[in-house]
Amino acid sequence: MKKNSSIYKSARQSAIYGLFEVFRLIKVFATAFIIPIVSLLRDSRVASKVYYVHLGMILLLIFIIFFAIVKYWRFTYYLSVDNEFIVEEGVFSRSKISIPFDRIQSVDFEQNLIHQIFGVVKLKIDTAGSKNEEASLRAIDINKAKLIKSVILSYSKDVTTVEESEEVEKVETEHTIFQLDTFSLVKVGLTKNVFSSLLLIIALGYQIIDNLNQVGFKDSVKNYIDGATNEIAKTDTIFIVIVLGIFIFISFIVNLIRAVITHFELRLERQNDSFVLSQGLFNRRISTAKESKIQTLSWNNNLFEGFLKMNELVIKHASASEATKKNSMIVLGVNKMHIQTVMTMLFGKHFSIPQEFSSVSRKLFYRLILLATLPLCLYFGLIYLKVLFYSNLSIFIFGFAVLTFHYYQKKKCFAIDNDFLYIKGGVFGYSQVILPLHTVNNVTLKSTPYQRQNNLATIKLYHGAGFESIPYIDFSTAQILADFILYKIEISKKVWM
Amino acid sequence: MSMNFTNPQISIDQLPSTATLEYEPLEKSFEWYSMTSTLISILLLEIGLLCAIYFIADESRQYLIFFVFIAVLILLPLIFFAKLSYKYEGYAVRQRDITYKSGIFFKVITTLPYNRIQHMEISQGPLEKLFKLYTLSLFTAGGSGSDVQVHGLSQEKANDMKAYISESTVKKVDEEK
Repeated sequence: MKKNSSIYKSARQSAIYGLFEVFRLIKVFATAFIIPIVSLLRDSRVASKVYYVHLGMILLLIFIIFFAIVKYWRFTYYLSVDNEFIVEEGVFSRSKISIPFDRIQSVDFEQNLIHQIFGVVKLKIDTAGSKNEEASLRAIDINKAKLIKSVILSYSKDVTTVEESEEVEKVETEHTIFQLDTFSLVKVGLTKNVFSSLLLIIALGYQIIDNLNQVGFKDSVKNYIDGATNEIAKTDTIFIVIVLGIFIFISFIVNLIRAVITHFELRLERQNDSFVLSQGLFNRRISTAKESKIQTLSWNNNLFEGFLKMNELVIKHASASEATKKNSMIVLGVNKMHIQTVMTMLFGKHFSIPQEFSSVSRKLFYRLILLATLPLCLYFGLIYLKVLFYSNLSIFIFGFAVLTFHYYQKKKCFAIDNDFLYIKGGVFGYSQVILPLHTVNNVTLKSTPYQRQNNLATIKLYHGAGFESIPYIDFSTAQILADFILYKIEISKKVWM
Repeated sequence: MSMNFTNPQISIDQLPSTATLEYEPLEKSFEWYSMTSTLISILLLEIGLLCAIYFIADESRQYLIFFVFIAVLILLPLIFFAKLSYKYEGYAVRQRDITYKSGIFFKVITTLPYNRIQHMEISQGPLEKLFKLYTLSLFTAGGSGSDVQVHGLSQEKANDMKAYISESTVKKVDEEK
C-alpha cells in the first residue's frame, strides 16, 4: 500500500453524515421537548400566539442544521504514517483519538437503507483497551472504507511475522466458508427462539385455564364433555383455542421475519487471515476479525436445531465492551462440516477435540435443587398467609427446573490438552466452547462453604471476550488446572490480542 | 498451532503451584478501614430506610425504637464480618504473577500473570486517605471482569509492587527480543 494514498490525508466523512447528524439532533430534541411543547400548544392562552412556538421550532431547526454542518466540518479522520487510525472531532474543542493498528480487534461495516442508497457505510473500529476506545465513522464512502479495512487488517507487527514464519502461505486468499441459503434461513427462523416462545405459550395457556377453573369454567368444560351442549362453554373453548392458535402462529411468523431481516444472505468468508461475516436485509452488517485476535470458538444448538443438524457458531474476539453479543460473530445454521473447516483454519490441520471428557460433581445438581426450593418455600409461605392462591403452575415450574438442573449438570464436562481447554454443556440442546489457553487473562478459583465441605471448587477463566467457568470440580483438579493454565500463559509468546 | 513447535513435557507435579503460597497480609489499618467503610455505607442505607418509614408510614412511628433495634442488629454482624475479612484477605507476589485472595465464606483466589497486564494505577479514595491506604489496580485488556485490585497497601508497598511488576514485564519483553 502506498503511503501517499488518499486515506493517509486528513479527510471528512461523506456529506450524508451531516444529514444523519441533523436527524439525530432532531430526535434528541424531539424526545426531550415533545411533552412540554404539546402541553404548551394545548394551553388556551398560548393558542392565539401559536406562531411564536412555530418560530421557535424553525429557529431550533436552523440551529440544528448549522450545528450539524459544523460538526461535519470539524470531524476528520486519516491513517497516520506510523500505522495509527486517527479521528479528530469536536465542535468547540477538538479531541484527537489515535488507535494503533495492532490494537484494533475488529473492523465492522454497517449499512441501513439510506447508507445503501448513497453508497456509504458506517465504519466501526473496536479496540480492547480497558477504557472505551472505539471509533465510529457514521458515513463514509464504501470504497474508501474497504481500502481502510484492508490496510488495517493487512498490517502486522514485525514480531508476529517472525513467529509465524513457518506459515509461508501468505497469498491473498479469499473464499467463502459458509453461505446461508433461503431455505436454511427459513429453517433457522423457525427454530430460533422457538423453544422460549413455546414455553411462554404453555405457561400462558396453563395460567388462563387455571384462572378459568377458579371462576367455574371447569364445570362448563365438564358439561361440554359430558355432551350437555352448553352453548356458552362451547364458544368459550373455541375462543381460547383460536386465541392460542393465533398466538402460536404470530410468534412463529415474528421469529421468522426477524430472522430473515437480520440474517438475510448470511455469509462467512475468509479473507487472508481474517474472518468476515456479512448479513442483513435492510441493515447490512459486515464484521471482520483478525484470526490472531480471536479469543474463543464455540457452537451450540437447541433441541429443534439439533433435529435439523444445525448449529450456531460463535467466534468471539476481544473487545473493550463486555456485552457479549457485540464482540462475537454469530453464524447461524452451520453444520458440523463448516465448524470443522473453521477449526482447521483457526487451530491448524492437526487439531482435534479429545475423546474423553471429565464430568462435574453431582453435588452441583443437589445444590441447585436446594436453591430452587427456597422460592418454592417462600411461595407456599405466602399461600399459607393467604397472600397468594395456589396454582399447579408452581409445581410444573419446579419440575421443569429440576429437569433443567439435571441435564445442566449431566451435560457439563470439560477436557484439557496442551493448548486448549474444552467445555461442553447445554440443557436440552448442546454447546461446546474451545478456549485456547494463551488467550486467558487471569485464573480465579472460587469456593463456597458447601463446596469446601465436599472438597470442590469452581474455576473461572477470564479472557479478552468474557469468561468461561467450570463449576463444582474436585478442588485438587481445579488447583492443577489453574497451575497448568498459569504455566501455559506465562511461557506463551503468542500474540493474544 | 504449528508443526515444529517444541514443548518439552513437564510433569504436573513439577509445576509451581499457587496452593502452597504464603500470603502477605494487608496493612493493619485496613481492618479499621473496612469496618469504617461498612459502618458508613450500611448506616447511610439504614438511616434512609428509617426516614422513609418515619415520614411515609405515619402509623408505624410508634414502633420506631423497634426498627432502630433491628437496624443495629443487622449492622453489628456486618461490622464483625468486615473486621474478620481482614484476616482472609492477602496477596502473594511471584516472579511471573500476582495472586489475591479474599472472602470469608465465598473464597476467591485470583491469579493474574504479569504478561497480561495492560496498565497499572495506584489510587486512594477519601476514606483510604484517612487511613493512609492505597489501592493498586491492575488492568487487563478486554473488559473489566479480569482486572485485579489489591486493596489496603501502604504507599511504599504500592509503589514497590508497581515498580516490580513493570520491571518484570519489561524484562520478559527483552528476553523475547
